[in-house]
Amino acid sequence: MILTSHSEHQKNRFRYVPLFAGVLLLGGCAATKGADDVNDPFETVNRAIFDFNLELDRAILRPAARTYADNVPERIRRMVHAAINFIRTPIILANDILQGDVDRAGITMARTMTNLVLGFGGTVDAASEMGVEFHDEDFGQTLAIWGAEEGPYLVLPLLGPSNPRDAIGTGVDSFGDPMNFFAEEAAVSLPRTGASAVDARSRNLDTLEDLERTSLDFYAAVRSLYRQRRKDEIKNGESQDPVPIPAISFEGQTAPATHAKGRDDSKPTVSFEEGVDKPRADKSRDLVPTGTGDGTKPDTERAKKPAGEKPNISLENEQKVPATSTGDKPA
Amino acid sequence: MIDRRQLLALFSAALLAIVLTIASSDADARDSGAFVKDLGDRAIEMLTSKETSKDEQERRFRTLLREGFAIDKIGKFVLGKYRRKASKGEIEDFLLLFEDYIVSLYSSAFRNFSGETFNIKRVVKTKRARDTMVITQIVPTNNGAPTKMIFQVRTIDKNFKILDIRIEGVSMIITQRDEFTTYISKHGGTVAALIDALRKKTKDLKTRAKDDKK
Repeated sequence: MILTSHSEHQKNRFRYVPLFAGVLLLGGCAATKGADDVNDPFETVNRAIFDFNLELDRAILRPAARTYADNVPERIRRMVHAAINFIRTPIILANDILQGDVDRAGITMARTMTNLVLGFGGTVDAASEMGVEFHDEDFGQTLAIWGAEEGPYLVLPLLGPSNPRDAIGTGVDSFGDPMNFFAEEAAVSLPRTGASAVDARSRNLDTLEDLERTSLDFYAAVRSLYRQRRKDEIKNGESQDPVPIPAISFEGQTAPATHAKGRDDSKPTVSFEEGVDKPRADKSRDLVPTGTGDGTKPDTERAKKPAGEKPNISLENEQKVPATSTGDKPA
Repeated sequence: MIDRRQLLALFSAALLAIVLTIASSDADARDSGAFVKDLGDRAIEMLTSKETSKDEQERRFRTLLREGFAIDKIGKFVLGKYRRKASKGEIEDFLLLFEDYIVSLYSSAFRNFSGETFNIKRVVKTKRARDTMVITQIVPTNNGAPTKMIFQVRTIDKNFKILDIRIEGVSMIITQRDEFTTYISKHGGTVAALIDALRKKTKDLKTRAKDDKK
């Protein structure tokens, strides 16, 4: 988006400023959440749209992706995937820069040059083979880095799981994508969208089918997956915080043998609630689940460290002690 | 006044104490990585054969599950806030059923194994003294992009137990909790409703597995 100098677009862009402000405010309101709170006030509508999307997926996208995965050789599919990623470069680079992440912007540039020259114009991900892995960025993540909360969960028609922050992000990315300026005709942009959708869908056919088959509430499972994935993407996959699973005072008393016997006799008599009511000093912190394991303000965590600056607030979950390595032993 | 020799002795004692502390906690951290590695290797060894019968497969998986995972603790966690409202009997029923559910979900997952390599990348200590995060990578045979898997391992009674597996940022235990608690809240807010649904689901999964085998 910042790569274009077209003044018309520059002007148009300012129309979005109130929207950004809106999303930041909205984020502020939605900041208080309990551990089990799902922040899904529009659940009824969301479920209806989810069902609609699911029908559409069953009718069109899933069969298309299945046909693609079954009939197109893997080598070709990898080339398509590499090309789709390559075309996204301007968006990724712009968001790397907007997030102040100089290192990742450098990686994106290096990858682009490598793949352009050695990767046959972007159809082979030569950089990945050299160990410089692909990373994605989008404006939803940038907004998160800037401090916007995700807001309530939304399911968008056709687009699927989202939230106000990510929905605006998607709009801005699509609006600012220079590739869309070069190819404004539907004849070019539609095949790209279609190819991206089929490619993405073909990469998680089994995963989603398994989830649908095995879950008691597919909607809830997808909602949880989406949120966790987004949090992880915002942190660039670097989060290693443990899930705050309470330490229960009777632990250790359940001998493995009780499983076999059907946990009849030796069930611990101390209940979990007692543990909560009378936390011991050393365990009190363990007993308070803080959100989904990422601290109270997970999305804004990286916002506090723009390029080259040390974060001025040290979040307690950020204590990554460099530990010993067991080495990269092959299996 | 302390003389210099005393001071030096004191100083070296303190230094020694620090070194020993670091060394011992490092050993812990290394061990949890070795524990995950060992469990993974054994799972591959015991569960990947396509010859094994369905029942035998489940039996072996259950053994590894009980040995390597704090399955009771996981079961209690996934009930979320409803755990407090459930009776003791309900929780016991649920825990038995939950184990069956996990077994029927995952015992055949290893059959699709096709030589992927399982690497322990590093072990990260956490602010919770007994929890370590074991960061691993699954590399597919076709040189595709590796999958990042993080195991949350807790020391319980001097044994390591896995509490959670996080795949590409998605925690199994949180996904399960979010799903189960939503289900409960949509069905009268009782754990009993979940138990019924889970019983049905597990039965359904087992029948399906049998049909697949035929």
